[in-house]
Amino acid sequence: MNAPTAIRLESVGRTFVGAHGQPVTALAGLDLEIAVGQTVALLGPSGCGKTTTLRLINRLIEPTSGRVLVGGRDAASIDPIELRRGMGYVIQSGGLFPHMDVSANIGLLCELEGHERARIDARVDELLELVRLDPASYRHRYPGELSGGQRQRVGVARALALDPPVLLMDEPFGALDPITRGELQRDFKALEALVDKTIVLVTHDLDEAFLLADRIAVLRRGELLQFATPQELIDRPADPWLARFVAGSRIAAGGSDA
Amino acid sequence: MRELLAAAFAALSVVALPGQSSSAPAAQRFVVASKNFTESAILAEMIALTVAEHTALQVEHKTGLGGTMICFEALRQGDIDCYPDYTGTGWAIVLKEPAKISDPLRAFTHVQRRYRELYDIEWMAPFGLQNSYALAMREAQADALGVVTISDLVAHAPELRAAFSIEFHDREDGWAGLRAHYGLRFAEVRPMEHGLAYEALAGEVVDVIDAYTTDGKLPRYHLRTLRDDRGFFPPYHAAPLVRGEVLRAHPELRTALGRLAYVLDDATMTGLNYEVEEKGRMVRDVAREFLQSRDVLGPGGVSRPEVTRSALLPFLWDRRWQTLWLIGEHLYLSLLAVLLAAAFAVPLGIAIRDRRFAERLALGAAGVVQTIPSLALLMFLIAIPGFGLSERSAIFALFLYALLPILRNTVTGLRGVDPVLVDAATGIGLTPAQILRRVQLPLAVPTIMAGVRTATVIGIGVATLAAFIGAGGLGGPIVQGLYLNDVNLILAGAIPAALLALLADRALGFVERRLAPKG
Repeated sequence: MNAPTAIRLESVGRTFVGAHGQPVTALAGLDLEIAVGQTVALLGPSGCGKTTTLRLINRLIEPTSGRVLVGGRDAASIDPIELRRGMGYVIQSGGLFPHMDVSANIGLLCELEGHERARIDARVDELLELVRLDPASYRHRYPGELSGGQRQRVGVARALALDPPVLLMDEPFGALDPITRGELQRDFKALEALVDKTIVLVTHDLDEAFLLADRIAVLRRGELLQFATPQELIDRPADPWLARFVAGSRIAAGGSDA
Repeated sequence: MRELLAAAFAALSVVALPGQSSSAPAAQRFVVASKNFTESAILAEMIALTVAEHTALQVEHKTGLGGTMICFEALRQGDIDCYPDYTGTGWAIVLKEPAKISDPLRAFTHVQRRYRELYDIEWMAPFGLQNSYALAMREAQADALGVVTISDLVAHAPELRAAFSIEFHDREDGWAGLRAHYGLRFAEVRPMEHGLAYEALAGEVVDVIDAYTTDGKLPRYHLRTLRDDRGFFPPYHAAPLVRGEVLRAHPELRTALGRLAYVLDDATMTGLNYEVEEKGRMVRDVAREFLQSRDVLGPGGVSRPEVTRSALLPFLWDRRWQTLWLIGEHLYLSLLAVLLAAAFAVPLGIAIRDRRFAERLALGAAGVVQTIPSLALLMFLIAIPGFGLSERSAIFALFLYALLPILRNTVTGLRGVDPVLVDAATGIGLTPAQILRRVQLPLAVPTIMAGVRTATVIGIGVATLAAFIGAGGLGGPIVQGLYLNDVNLILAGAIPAALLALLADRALGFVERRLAPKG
């Protein structure tokens, strides 16, 4: 894999102050290199530091040690607003603003960037079609009038509004029922617009990671256990815990990918 | 704003009542106020009529302005030019003389000298009547118990219930001193609006009330005033008080007011009070007729036909223009206060939304203000220089009351916004200001509006108290009605005020729903 590096974490550590004033290490000296165009899943049980890692990339959290490089530049030196607008951000349930209709949600960033109305409208329709929602019937609906899967599609459309080279996704399909989730995962994988994007995906779902990711970073208790392709992970798990963890996957067991 | 309103109403009344012209001569104003009882209103009206007749001044009478300290402070600060007061009140309440006094002449010369020295306020020649405090009981019960003097009452007091007017209750020369002087102890003592105390006494809810020696209600309710056999109550001779500055500018006032010197005695005054309180005649008519009978006024002024208490609806209909004007004043007071409060509290709420300590401090302070009784707050404000007896004090008090609901709802509304949405907004690259404007504020608007709605309804209610400090509004007829024991008058203020509050609640509820985010 010789593609240039999109995101690089250099011994990034993050310590929080716990409820009783004691330091709690969420992340201990993490090194990670994500190549341009790759989809990387941050995988692990809850509390492993995967969401912390994601939030360090768009500076929702600042590292207590080490540094994050985005496109070769130290993220700390980039204006956070500029940094975030260059990275789509999708969270569980979509995080849509309930007082704005679908087009306002998707077009918000374009509007704040000062794009013309007509251009925004065209972009909104284009994005709706991309995420397989009929613009005519969804454009003016409010989030409350959408199903969970539809909300998630709109969330992805909003993240792509400014056509950012990077997409950060925090458990994007976590709140959906299994059928909708599978459908969305397949659609997501098939999205052409995502082919050349660098995607960082937080998940605790092994199958989702196997299905969507080019490489998987397995985290446990704030440390990187293994960073490898799905196949490598199945063939050569780094330790017995990981081997058992991987064995739980239907894909690893040779099942269908639905 | 107020000028605009006045102009609009002036225009309206000219159109509506072509018979009346609203031309006001550009004369200098002379503002007479009266305290909150009939006799004071009659005396003040006599002053007003006399000054109007014998000088070129344009006279205004503020009926039932308030208790002694309100009138005195208003006079001292120049909000009013004149009001009638009593020597004993000046001695004990204003000058706070520790010594007791029983010689009426010495009392008069003393207050006259001290007021001149301390406040540049002049005691003019007395009216002649003496209206001292007295205790009153039902004639029948007094007979049964054999009570004639206050000393006779001492033995029976522990089985009797007393109700005293707020002012008497709290005064050194009232209940506090009387209790010590005679060693009186009642089974129960409660403060009660004076106009209601008679009904309470007649209805045997209480047994003893405070009354005045010239009280017009004494005959009607078959009451006995108890003789002050151990000389506790100081002399209470009534006289007009005028600001020295006004007297120097208008020396003709001395001659004019001199016409009122010793025109009255206790019996005559009781009769005039009776005419107003019991026969329901207008203060203005009673005062005018009396002055005409003593040749203080010429016969020229056409007295309005005698108005007796009429049915409520015709009464309200007759007052419709006046009520409309008062509604305008009322809305002006309460809405301006709420607007100012919103302009202050919403930005404050935004500023402190993420600062726990500042929030607790601000909400605490606003909450403390809320617990101060409205009247107490008004009294406090009018003592502050620059506020005084003005609509400014009323608006400021209403403003303070409106702060808490608006501030609290702003903070609650902003905090109620799902943190996930704020996180999403931050994550997709909105600046804090954009998050506030695009996400937090729109979602908090219904809650903030609910606070504004609460504040408005409270404001319309509390604004009725503005009349106590002469700031106008629908409280005017309520306050006057209370002093004059006129239920129609009370309702003429209370009904529109209640309707106004309901209407405002409905209207703002509608606005609230319209502003609620869809979806």
